[in-house]
Amino acid sequence: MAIRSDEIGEILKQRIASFEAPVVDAHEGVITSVGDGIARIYGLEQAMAGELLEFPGPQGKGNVLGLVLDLREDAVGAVIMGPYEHLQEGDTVRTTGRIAEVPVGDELVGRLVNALGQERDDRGPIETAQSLPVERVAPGVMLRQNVDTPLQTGLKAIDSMIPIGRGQRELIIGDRQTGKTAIAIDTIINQKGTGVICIYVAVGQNAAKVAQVRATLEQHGALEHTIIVAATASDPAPLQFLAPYAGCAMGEYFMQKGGHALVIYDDLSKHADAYRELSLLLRRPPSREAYPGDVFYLHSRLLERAARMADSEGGGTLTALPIIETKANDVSAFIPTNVISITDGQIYLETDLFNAGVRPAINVGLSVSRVGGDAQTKAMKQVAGQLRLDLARYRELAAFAQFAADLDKSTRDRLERGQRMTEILKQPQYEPVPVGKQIIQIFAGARGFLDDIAIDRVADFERSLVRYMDQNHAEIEKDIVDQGKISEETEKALSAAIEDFKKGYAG
Amino acid sequence: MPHASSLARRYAEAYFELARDAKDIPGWRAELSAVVDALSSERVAPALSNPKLSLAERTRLGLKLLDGASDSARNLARLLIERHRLGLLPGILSHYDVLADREAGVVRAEVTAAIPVDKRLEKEISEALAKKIGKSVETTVLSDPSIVGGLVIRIGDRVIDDSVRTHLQQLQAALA
Repeated sequence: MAIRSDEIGEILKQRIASFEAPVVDAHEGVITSVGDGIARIYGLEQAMAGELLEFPGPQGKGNVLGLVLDLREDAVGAVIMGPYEHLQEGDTVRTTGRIAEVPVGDELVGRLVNALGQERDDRGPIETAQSLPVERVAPGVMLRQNVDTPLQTGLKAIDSMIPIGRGQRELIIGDRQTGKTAIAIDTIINQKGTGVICIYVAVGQNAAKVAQVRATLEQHGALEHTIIVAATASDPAPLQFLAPYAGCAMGEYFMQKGGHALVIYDDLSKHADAYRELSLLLRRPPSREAYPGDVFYLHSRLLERAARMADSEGGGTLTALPIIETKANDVSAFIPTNVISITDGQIYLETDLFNAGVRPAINVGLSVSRVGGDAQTKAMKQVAGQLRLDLARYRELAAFAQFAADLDKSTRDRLERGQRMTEILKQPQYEPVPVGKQIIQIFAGARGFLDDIAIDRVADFERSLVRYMDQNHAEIEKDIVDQGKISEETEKALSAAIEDFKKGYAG
Repeated sequence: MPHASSLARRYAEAYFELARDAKDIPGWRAELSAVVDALSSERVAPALSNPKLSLAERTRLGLKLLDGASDSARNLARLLIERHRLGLLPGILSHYDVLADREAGVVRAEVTAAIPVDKRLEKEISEALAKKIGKSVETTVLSDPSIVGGLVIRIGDRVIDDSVRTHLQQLQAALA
């Protein structure tokens, strides 16, 4: 038998010497039935809702934790957060006096943990100084202030037309395979160097996808500011239920310190499914689509915890990007409508757009951001207005124009402009664009500099333009970013620079 | 101790309140205990719930077994037979005891030790407990060598466990 490093005599001696044996003073109950990860326990009259319970562990292992979800007259119903096959009727269960909590702190950054905050990346135990309860009441009205700082995603389509502010809740919704996670990953990558800590919560995903996300983030150097909380498809439903709250608690730690955090819940459809499973097993009455009656509260209490704190409270923010997967574009299903009504807007992704090569496949007509406008810089507002207008006109005409044989010039121009604008908003994955460059690119399109460029050359033109600006007129981008707006002189300089570039561009 | 269902608790509470009004809690308990003995035995209970016999006949039969019992005990039995609730009797009795203890401010503790406990030590334990809880404590002492040493005290569903066995398990978990 090989000796493990933690079995070295000195270490063992230390641990035995420092071992304290507290007297157990707890309430004890007896399991009356157990199965499917749910236990009914007789006794435990003093148990609290949400309290952690200690179940006996499997042979030779430590205890298994459970969570009280159901308080009845004679019994409590609890979910078991770990293996439960060894549990039997008659086994004793003890209360711990603790409400479910997770470790929080800077030590978690860069790590992969499960819903209980335990490490899952084989990089050694995580020692944090602090824990926070998983379920907390969201900050009240007087503790908040208006969202006013942008959270740049690095995606032109989002930052220009569906801007997200720090402290906002913006839903990402779409069918499978439409690039929902890709938007989240790009956003995380773009937070590099901004001081925003990102928490990616994977609920019910397959472990391979989580591994892939982690590898992608690592490759782009984005793991250093990211915590991944994973409750994969093979984890029991209670852990999947808990994971978003755990991730939120980890984010709240940074918000309380006056810092900034971004939590991505990928995805809340599977979270609702896990909660449905628990509720049905706890014999709560099913309502629409067999979800329990409190499934709205399940998500509203989670998303309400995203906030922009008042300056007196440190001014920290917690931004939430929940993801919802729809089936066959049905946004009127129960969970999508619920979450749409809770959030401050949604980014709507479509399969048709995705297949047509518009990536990110954002339907800019249906996507909205209800509060992000206040957070947008003036410079972006100056160019985005024209962009939105051009695209709206384009959409109006595009369907109709398919039938018309010959179109008058102004209609044709609008179509041409719209196609070029759509082209500008296309963007490869993992290549977030800084806001200054976004503004230059959109400016070029909105002012008609692209109208005589062939559509399939637009992407190349944009790339070359940005490179040219960097080399020859870096001060223009700097001006725009520093001033936060496009002043008249800057506008003139920018137009002249683009003209210059076009002369040399062999399009 | 059989566990009292919420239904049994209701019957027990009703009967107990009558007993309290009559200011004879121990007396009514004896009566209730007699009813339980008479009607809950394996031979009697099936006959009293046999649907082949008419209700009147079953009631007559049941009450005949309770000759000499008090009126209230007989009435309770009649009620239970009529409502097909004879199965609740053990639960009613156990909850009656709980109510009686609560009324008297007595807490029952079960003390488990690894070695036999003499009277003097038992008294010491129950005094220490009474001080901690603030109620008078009636202790029952069990001995169970498997806890190795120390004491395990149970009061209702509360457990105060200072046994060597549990501390060894804690040590095992800490080293795992």
